[in-house]
Parts: sequence; C-alpha cells; structure tokens
Amino acid sequence: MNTAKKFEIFSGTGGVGKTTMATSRAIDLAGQGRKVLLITIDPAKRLKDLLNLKDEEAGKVVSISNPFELGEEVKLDALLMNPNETIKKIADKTNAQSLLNSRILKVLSKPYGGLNEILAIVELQLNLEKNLYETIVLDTPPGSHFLDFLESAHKIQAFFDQTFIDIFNYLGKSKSKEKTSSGRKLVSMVVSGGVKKLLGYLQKVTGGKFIEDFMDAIGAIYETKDTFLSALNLQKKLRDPAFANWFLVTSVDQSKIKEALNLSSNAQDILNSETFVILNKCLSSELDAWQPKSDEHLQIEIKESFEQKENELKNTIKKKFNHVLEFPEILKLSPTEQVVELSQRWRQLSTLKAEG
Amino acid sequence: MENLKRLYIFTGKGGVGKSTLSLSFVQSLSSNNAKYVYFKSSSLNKKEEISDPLIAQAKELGIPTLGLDLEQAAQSYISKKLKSQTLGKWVLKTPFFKALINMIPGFNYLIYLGQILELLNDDPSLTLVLDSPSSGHALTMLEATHNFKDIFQSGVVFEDTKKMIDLMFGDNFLKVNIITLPTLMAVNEAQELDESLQKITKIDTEIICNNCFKNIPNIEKSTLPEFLINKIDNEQQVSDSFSDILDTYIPHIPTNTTHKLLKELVPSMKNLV
Repeated sequence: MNTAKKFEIFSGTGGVGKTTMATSRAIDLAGQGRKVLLITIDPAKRLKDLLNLKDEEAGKVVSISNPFELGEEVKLDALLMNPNETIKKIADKTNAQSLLNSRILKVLSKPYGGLNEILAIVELQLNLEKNLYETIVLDTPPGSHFLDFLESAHKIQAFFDQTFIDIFNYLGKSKSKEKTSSGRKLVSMVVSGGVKKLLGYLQKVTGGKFIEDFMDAIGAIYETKDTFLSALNLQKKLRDPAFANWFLVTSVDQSKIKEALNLSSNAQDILNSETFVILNKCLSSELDAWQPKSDEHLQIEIKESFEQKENELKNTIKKKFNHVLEFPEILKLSPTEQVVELSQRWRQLSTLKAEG
Repeated sequence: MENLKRLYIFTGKGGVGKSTLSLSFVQSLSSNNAKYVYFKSSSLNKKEEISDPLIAQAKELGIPTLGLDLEQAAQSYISKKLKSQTLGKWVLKTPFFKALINMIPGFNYLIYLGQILELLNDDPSLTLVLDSPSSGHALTMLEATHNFKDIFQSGVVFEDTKKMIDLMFGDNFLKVNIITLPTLMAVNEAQELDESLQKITKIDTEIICNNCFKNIPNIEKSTLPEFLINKIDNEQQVSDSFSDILDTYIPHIPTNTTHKLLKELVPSMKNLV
C-alpha cells in the first residue's frame, strides 16, 4: 500500500462494505496524524451513529475527536453528504437562488437522483477549496453498476450536449438583454427547429407545466454552469495517479464474477494505472485451517463452495489488476469493532509495503 | 397457489441474493402463470444486453422470463400518445429526450412500471416477479409514480400516473420482498428501506433474511470450525435483536451451481407469497 494521496476514493456496488472500508481508511490515516475529511453518502444508520453524524447535520462538516475510541489525540472531520445541501451550497456560492426554486432540481437531487454523482464531485471541489485537509476520503454514492460513479461525467456531458448548448446559447443572448427568464419565455425563445418541435410534442404528452419547469431547471443549472464544469475538470484530475488513489471494493461473499470481469474490461480506459482492487471478506486463512472429516459431507460441501467462490474471484481480479488488497472477513458483530479491525489491516498493509 | 399477488418486487441492497431468490420464487410458482421480469437496460445511452449467467441458466431451466427494454417501452408509450410511430421514434432519438430520461431519477422506472402494469392489465392470470436493481433504486421506482404526479401536475402522463397509483397500490396487487442478510447493518438498512416505503403509502412488505448458516438443515454446530460457529452466533444475535421484524429465514445453500441453488431454495419460497 503506497502513501495516502490528496484524494482517496472508494467505489463499488452496494453491500460490499464500501462505507466501512472508507471509514476504516480514514481513521487509519487520522491515527497517523493526518488531517483527514471523510465524506460519506447516506451510510447505514449504525455507521452514522458511530461517526456521530445526524441527518439534520447533513451537508455540514462535523469534527470528531477520539473516533471509535482510538485515543483523544485522534481527530477526524466527517461530512454526511446530502445532494440537496450541496445544491444549496452552490446556490449560495453563485448567488443563484433560482437553483433552489426549481421543483425538478429538487427531485433530481434526491438520493439516487440523476445528479448525485456529479454533486459528490462538486462537494469534493468545495471542500478542496477550503485547503484544510491533507487527505479527503470519499465514499461514492452506491451505483447499480461498479462504474456508475466514474461515468457520471457522461451524464452531465449529455446534459450539456449540443441540444442544450443551443438552448444555453439562446439563454446567453437573452441574458445580455434582459435579466429575467421564465420557462414560458424560454420555450418561445427556443426557435431552433428541432428543439421547438420536440418541446411541442413533449408538451402534448407531459403537459405544458412540466416543460416550463424543465426549462427553468435548465436555466438554473446554466446560471451555475461554471461550478458544474469545474467539477468536470476535477473529475478528470482525479484520474491522475499523483493526485488520487482509487479503491474499487468488491466482496468475496458476493458471487459477482461477471461484475468483476466487466469492471476489468471497462476500468482500464477510465481509471489510472494505480487503481487498487479491494477483495473484502476473504476467508482463505480460516478455510485453509479447516479440515473436515471425510464423512462430514455437508461440511466438505460448505468448505469447497467457499473456496471455489473465493479462488475464482481472486484469480479473475489478479489477472487484470496489478494492485489487489485482500481484507479478511471480520467476524465481529459490532460495526465499531469491524471498522477498527479493518483500520489495523490498512496499517499492516502499509508496513508490508515499507518493508518490501 | 391461492392468494397470489399480481406483482412481486424483490429488493434489498447489492449482493443479498435478489436475483437468485426471485428466480427461485418464479420456479416455485411453476403451476401458475408467473414470470420473472428483468430490465435489459437502465439507461438510454447504454445498449448493454443483459448477459447474466443467471438469466441464461433460468432460461435453460425453463423458468419463464420476460425482458423489458427501456427504449422500446418509452417509444411505444410516446408513439401511442402522439398517435404516430414516426414521431415516437424521432422524439426518442433526440439528445434532449435521452438526457431528460437519463437525468431524471425514476423516469425510466416510470416507463418500466407503465409497461408492467399494462401487461398485468392485459392478462388477468399473469403474476410478475420483478428483480429490482437495489434498495435506493427500488425506492426511486416506487416513489416515481408519486414524484411524477407532482412533477407533471397536468396532462396525459399525469392522468396515466394517477391510474398507475390506483392500480399498483390497490388491494392485493403488490408485495415487496425486502431481501437482507443476517448482519446488524444489513437488517438495519432493510428496516430503514421498509420505513421509507411505508412513507410513500401503505405497502405490503416483508423482510426476508437470506443466506443464513444457522438455518442450514441438520447442521451440527460442534463439527464446524470456529469462524462458522462465530458466524452462526452472530446470526443468532441479529435474529434475537430484530425478532419483531424478522421471521423469514432462508438457509445458506452450499453450492456453486445455479441449478442446484435454485432448486434447493424452492421449498423456502412458500413463505414469500
């Protein structure tokens, strides 16, 4: 394990232990005396409690001393991300109150909304600008696919694609002439053949109010487009290995070989060469030590199915990735103990690296 | 089978076994007209055909499946409303519309749900079993109808959305099986999801604890290694502390073959109806 970077990004599907892993990394780094901010997105309630984050504090940085009872000298800042709060911050920064009034943006910034990934990057950007931290650990929003987070740029780019640029151009022209722009005005302003026709048809299906609201939302995003575009730049920068460590978390207890394969075929173009794959919940040392008797058929079956699953995943991943980190399954009931033990494993990995 | 609902949604966070359980569930309903529904794509940009080995196996095993395609569903809906195939096709192709569908959460689900409800409406004997993406997405999907009623406020989609809500949340129509694993965090999340679902409207839900070692039939704890005894003890503590919300447990099936897995799960499926 090499040294911590400015950004440590944890990505992966739900249920693999991504948040627990990011938290354990953050407290390991904090334990070494680094100034660390952990940004987490809607973790399970127990972890929220452990970190002392409350829903009503969402969007605010909370300073935690003695996290997980690791010692009074250990300090960690944590932020429970809430997309709606991020939108508010953008509105404050750019003085664009229209952002807050758009009903469509309110829905878009709901958890699992279409703007979530890009808002996580915006949140990174805003915290980077504060210049307070040596390392920011980001637990990315759970995607249905491994790479949802990485592909968020496509979503926002699709938003800024040619059709929209047409609309933005009209908006830009009109803005120099007049200050206000209601959705209704917008619709009538957009004379670009295709768009006008399209809106006409859509209006028949969705109703006029929706088109108006949608144009308002676009207008509001347009007003703050610099923030979104700088987030896009930051996302590009995150691919620089000197700047960010990426950890793709996968778990042995999930038979997601296909996902692992998908990941390796797609990830190369998107990630940097220093990408780490975390194999979580490995049981190999326990399994090696277990020798069922020859007549214990059920036991043999359990052992073999475990081993087969774990080996298949390991072999697949190791063929494709240079940096694979194995973490054992922590057989502790309490999430606190799990996090603490995992942070010890991080320490162990960095020692191994230093020696080797 | 009696008291079968029209639509079952299997949800829960990633890796809990939603696909496996929903397939096995359909298999257990082989004497009924039940089908496993999967989504071919979740976004209009991606053209990934689902090539899940699980679905391939399901087809081999003769489990009835039904693949829904977002683009086709959206196109057929818009075409119907505009009363023109050509216009429907054209609207779908515009970058504007693609961006709209991909950005607005739940829009794709609204389209899928619309198609599902239409299928159920057309064939009163049909039961559909929906393998939904994962917790948050399922929430987005079930919230979609209410969100879009608020967003559209008027017009054709608004009227259709209202119809969808009446149908879907009507009597004996929908059951949501929330799949979880026997760990504190997982059950906690399942409980949170359940609470969020109940906030939408009254929904028939059940939390199902999958992959439990303690429920493997005839398992003799003393013959197991320490890590498994540990696992079983932890599972027991989880089930004790959540006894008020958990009473359906599915045993761990020690196998790596899908065929055997699906078959051996069938006996546990009667609890999921």
